[in-house]
Amino acid sequence: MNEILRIENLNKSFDGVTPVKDVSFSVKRQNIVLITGENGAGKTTLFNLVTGLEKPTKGKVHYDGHEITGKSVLEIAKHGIIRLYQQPRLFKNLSVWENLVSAAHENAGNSFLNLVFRNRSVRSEDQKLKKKAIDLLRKFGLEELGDQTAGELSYGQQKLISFCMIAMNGTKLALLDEPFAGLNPQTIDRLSDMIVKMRDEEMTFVIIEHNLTRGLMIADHHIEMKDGRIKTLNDLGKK
Amino acid sequence: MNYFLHISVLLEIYILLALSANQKVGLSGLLTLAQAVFYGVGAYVTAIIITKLGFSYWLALPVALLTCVLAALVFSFIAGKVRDLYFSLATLAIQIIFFSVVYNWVSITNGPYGIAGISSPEILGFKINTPGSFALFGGVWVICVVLFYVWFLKTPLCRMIQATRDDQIAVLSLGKDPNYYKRVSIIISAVIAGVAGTLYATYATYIDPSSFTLDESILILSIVLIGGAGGIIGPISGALIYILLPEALKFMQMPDSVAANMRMIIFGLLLVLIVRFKPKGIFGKYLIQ
Repeated sequence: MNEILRIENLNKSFDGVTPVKDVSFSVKRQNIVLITGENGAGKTTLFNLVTGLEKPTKGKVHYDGHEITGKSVLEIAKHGIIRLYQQPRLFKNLSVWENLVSAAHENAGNSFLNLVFRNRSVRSEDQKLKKKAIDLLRKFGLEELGDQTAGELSYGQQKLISFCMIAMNGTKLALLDEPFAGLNPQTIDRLSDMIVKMRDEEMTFVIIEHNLTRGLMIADHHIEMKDGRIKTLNDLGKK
Repeated sequence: MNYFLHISVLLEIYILLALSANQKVGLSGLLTLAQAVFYGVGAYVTAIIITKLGFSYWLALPVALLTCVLAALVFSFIAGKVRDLYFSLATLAIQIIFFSVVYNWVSITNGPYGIAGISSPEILGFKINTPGSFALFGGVWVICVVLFYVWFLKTPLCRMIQATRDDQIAVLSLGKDPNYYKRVSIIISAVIAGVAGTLYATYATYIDPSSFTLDESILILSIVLIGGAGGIIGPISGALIYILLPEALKFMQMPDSVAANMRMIIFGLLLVLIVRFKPKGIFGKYLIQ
């Protein structure tokens, strides 16, 4: 099945306001979908509805063939949808490689019982994850940051590392909230390359971005929202 | 010599308490004001089982630790519902409730009169009832807990506990349950504090509610704050400073009555200086917030 995310007639109302009105669209695997719109157009609420932070008043969300409407944030994240906020959220007192290993979706050593009863295999799995984390950093040219404490990195470096964490997690779909905000042009170039590289491998991205020029350079589809509705939906003809 | 051994036993008990508080505060970022509750649960359950039911320390110990685990589950439920300042306030309430219960439930705890005649542990017929044997016994517990941390601090689970401390929303976004990591951390902390409680009860042979007050919880927290949170050396050095400070004052030929008050004054002053000039504590890895 080529479709990874399908949104059907999604609505959200509260206190007489309807920030999302009858929004429907679908996202194909290994695509980058750019969502733009003015402040208050409903973009962030849409992300909140997909990731379970808010429950829709009406409509359905399907991910990878399963309906996930109204499920909790944890359940949805476990399904494999990751959301990256505008501010990078790293584990600031851990080193960069520890951040990456912590992001791995499966690690037997995260369970106390496994630690006690399967200590040897847990250690070997953790070593493998550490190696994978270092390889990943090398792939994106960030290997020199591996042993640094995440909280000591610059804002741009933190953003790049948070993308490595997505790759480490092995998620299939990432929702990115203004990934280019606050970055210098060189870091934006680097981040764009990372997103495209990850898309080419197996990931799908839905991006909210105000930097339209840069967003359109990497996007395969463009959705413009206005007053909670989809105003235009364009296939940019790259795929 | 006996006096030195007595100080050693106290030091061992406070090292265990500091390490237990460090698990919650330093590794999990849960600023608790109720660490004395688990210390008290360990001590009271041991005392009740030994004096009222007539069982040995070795049966009282697992029951006491199991009770601490149950109390920890209640605690972790709260930690899953409230965060930061609200969590601290909730722990303050638990501390006050605990004190009220042990103070007023006279039929079980003897209330303010306390429980006397708590017999000492025995190992292979050898009774641990002298300061020397207790120092050795407590030392074994301290070594076990320190060795546990030497191992545990390098495990993926401990890494996730610290990750949850740093940003639990990020943990959630990655598809992991932050409440699980908090729960495990609180249980480990409760068990270690419980061990300290069983040691204290059997060493002192008498316990009453005054040993498990809010003051005690704040003192344990201060020990971690001064020594430094997040590692092993910090809490141990905090306990060393707290216990050995009055001994240093004695060398200055200060009378006991003055030394006791001076200890708290110097300890308070040290706390202010640490907060101002070294907020992570002397050997701290994590800034308590």
